[in-house]
Amino acid sequence: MSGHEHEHMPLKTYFIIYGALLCLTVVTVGVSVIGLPSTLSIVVAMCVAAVKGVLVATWFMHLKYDRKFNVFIFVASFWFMAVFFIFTMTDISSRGDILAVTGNFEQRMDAAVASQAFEAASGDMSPEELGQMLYSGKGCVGCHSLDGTKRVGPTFKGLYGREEVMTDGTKLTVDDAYIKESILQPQAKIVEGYAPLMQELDVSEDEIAALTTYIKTLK
Amino acid sequence: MSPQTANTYAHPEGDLTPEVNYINATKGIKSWLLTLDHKRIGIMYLGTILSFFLVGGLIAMGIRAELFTPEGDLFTAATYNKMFTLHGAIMVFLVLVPAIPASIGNFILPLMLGQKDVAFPKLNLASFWIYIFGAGFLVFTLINGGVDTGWTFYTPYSSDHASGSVVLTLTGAFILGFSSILTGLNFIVTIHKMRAPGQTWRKLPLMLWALYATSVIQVLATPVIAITLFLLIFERILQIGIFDPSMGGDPVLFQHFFWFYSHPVVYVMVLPAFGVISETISVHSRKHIFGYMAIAGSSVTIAAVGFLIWGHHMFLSGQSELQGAIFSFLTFGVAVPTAIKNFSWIATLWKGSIRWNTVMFYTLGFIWIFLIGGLTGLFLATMATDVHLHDTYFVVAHFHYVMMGGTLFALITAIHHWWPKMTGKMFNETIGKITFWLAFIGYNLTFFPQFVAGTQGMPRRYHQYVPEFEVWMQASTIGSFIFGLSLFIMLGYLIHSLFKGVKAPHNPWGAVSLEWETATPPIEHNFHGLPVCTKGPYDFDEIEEVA
Amino acid sequence: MNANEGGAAANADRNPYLAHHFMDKFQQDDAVKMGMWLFLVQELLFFGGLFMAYISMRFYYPETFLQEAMAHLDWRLGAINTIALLTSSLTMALAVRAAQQGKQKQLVPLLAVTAVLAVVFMGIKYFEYSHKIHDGLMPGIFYAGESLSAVEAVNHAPQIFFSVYFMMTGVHGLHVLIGIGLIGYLMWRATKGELNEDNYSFVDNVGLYWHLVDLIWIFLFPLLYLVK
Repeated sequence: MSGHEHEHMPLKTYFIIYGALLCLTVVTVGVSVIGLPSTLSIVVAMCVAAVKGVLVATWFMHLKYDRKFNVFIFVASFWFMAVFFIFTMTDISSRGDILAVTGNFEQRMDAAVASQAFEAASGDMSPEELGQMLYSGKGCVGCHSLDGTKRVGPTFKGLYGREEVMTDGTKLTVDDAYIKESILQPQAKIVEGYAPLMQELDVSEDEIAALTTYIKTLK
Repeated sequence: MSPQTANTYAHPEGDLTPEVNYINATKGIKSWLLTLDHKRIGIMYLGTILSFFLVGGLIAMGIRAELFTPEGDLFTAATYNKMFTLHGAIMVFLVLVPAIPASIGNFILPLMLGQKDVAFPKLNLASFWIYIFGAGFLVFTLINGGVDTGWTFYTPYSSDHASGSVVLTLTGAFILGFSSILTGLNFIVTIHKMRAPGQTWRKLPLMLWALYATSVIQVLATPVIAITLFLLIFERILQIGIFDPSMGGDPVLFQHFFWFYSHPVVYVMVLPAFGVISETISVHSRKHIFGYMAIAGSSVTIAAVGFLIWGHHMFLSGQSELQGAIFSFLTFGVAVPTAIKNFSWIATLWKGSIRWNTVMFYTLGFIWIFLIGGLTGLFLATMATDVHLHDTYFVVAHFHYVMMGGTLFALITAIHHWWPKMTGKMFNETIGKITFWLAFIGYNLTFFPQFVAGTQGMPRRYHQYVPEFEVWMQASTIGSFIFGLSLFIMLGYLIHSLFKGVKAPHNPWGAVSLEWETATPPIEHNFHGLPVCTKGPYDFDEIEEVA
Repeated sequence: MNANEGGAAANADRNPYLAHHFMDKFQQDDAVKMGMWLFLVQELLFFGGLFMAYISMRFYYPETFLQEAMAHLDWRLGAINTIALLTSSLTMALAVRAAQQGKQKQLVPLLAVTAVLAVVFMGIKYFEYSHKIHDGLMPGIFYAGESLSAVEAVNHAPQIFFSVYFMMTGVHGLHVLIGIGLIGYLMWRATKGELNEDNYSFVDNVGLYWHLVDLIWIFLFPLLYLVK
């Protein structure tokens, strides 16, 4: 039998490790009682737990005296666990991010169909009627009501000429320029009390003009 | 036909060998069922696996028969759902996962290492009985009215809505996982700690490198499916809600859990197949394998990278596009080591002295089929094309090409290659070759039309379909019956060879790896004394000189 | 084992603890040790799934985890259990050492202390569980803690916290129970004098298993009891 099996750890070492483990338990409980901010507290708790784990693995489980390959096996398993955690959490935490920016496929198809209908009908219909068509076709209807109800976005009823308070505290009166900016750069100015959820859609100058005309009629 | 090698270990008294081998060393059913001999355990595994393959295959025949016409005339939709579920569950958990490692692997691994047994013979036997126990649950499910979740058990269908013995099936698969883990553990330790003197890692047969990589996946991935199924059992009974959206859980999380195992397990099925092919292509073209280290390294690389790509099964699950793109990119990475293997095999053939026998036919058949299976995988790994192809017959054809065409063809190759060693008898080459053509044509006729139907938009798992697909489905059904017939013929001539076959010489193929150094069939303890490994497993030139 | 074969008769002076297919005891011990580490690795990945469930559910319901854990889990009981397991880990390590050095008289008492501490751990667990079940703090549909509207049940989801809690501590508790059984078996073998300096692999392996159970609890304790 080769040497490494018979290298007995001195008895003292066992008790030192045990003492350290108890101290770290006190530390981790203590940190929790102090009440650090949530994120910091979990980081500290996990670091302390990791140190305790290393102590148990290295001395109680004799990894310090074991073959290097057994150490490798043990450490490698954490790598595979990390892959599992990191990839899954990347998915869970970024799910839907792209949809929030671009709109989903169906929404974009509807918007394109609405544009075609707009062009086809632009000779025959009045700007108000065209605007009304776009209001449903481009999907505005999903978030902006016509009857004053507060939905995901502000209502269109009486919107034109209304004074709105923005999230940064400034006030402004809704006019042609603001409506145009809100359609083309939805995140630029957000009305107080609403979330920045609107997507950038493909809307032409003519379509914006028609929509603005329509909004003006909604008193 | 082949030169007899100088045989130092098996026959100290010359060729007047007593007929005591592992098959007739002890008698009685108990001496088999409770044996600790890896060879007998391997044979028992092989018998059981082939029996379940027959069950799963008959269900597949039923599915193909139903799909012969566009109408759902043979079975009801509910029965059809249960059929494809059980076909999938039986084929994956009971056949493909243990197919090569537990049967052929068990038989030849210690022989290739020049050892008397695997490191833990009792664990090996335990693993077999755990397999039987788990299989019992699945068989009971089959009798008890079946289950209709699909073999993937996706939530919330499996947790809330599915009828039938879902819990029983899950328990069966859970138990089978432990059999797989213990086999893997046993093999890793055996390869690490028990090699013949002189057998360095660079003299290890490539079959063992492949089994080693397989075992690593079995040990690392299988526990995750175990906990997944465990949680799903509780999800079904208690509705704990981790995977169930109606209780606040996340069904896509289940898919992450499931595919973290179930993608690597594809490599559990196919890596041993690569190992078999690396052996047979070298032995039967009587030439040193091309790119030994490249093939060995690619096995390990595939095992490692195989853990990073599970999300390509989930492109349309609502998974984040960012993570989807990462998975897609890494999936393409797996093509590299796989291609290295393919090129190395073909380079091995180059200027080799190829023996056109049954084993070689199946080897080349494997390469052809796996090539198609692998290349069609690239279409599915591309996020944009996967939108079109997901859940169509293209996917069905793809995974049958890699899993069934890959693993099963390699299993057949392995059975033929090691048949003389296992049984001591030679099978009939002529009928073997004819059967190969029947199997090869039948196989391709079954699955190639499914690619076409899939690209045209035929969805999988439907028991009725629109008449436009009829021609493809009929070709597929006819092909499947030809393929099934060829497998029965194969069973026939192999069994015939047991009784009427020519007695096999010790080394019919003139191979140089250690398993051919012992008697055929091997004696109970494999070798008299300990063999010493002096040359690499593919150094054929030296044999030529001896001859 | 199969060593009764007639072929190799010269094995009379072989170590009785050496299986027939190993060359020597060193190879056997080495193989057994590696096998055990691989087993521990699969245990870790098994628990890895539970930790994954914890991480994702905490990500979805951060407030729930804070509130429920604070309101219903007593960190003092968790701390006592932590100390019980750490101490049992120490006595187990000492028992392995005693077996390696052939100190039979120390071995059985050390194993006994380990087993008693494990029983203490399970006793406290039983107390905690019965308390929660009494309060209706159950996983999934069996949750009956506070009356919640359907919307609250989905948004706040206290049942999810208790699902995670019971699954994690339950699977861990099951491992403790198996550990108690193994330690009991070791004691039985030790009293027959079968575990000594020539044959301590089994003690060593149960020790490794036991330390792993401890190691997992080291992470479970802060994750479940100390979240703030």
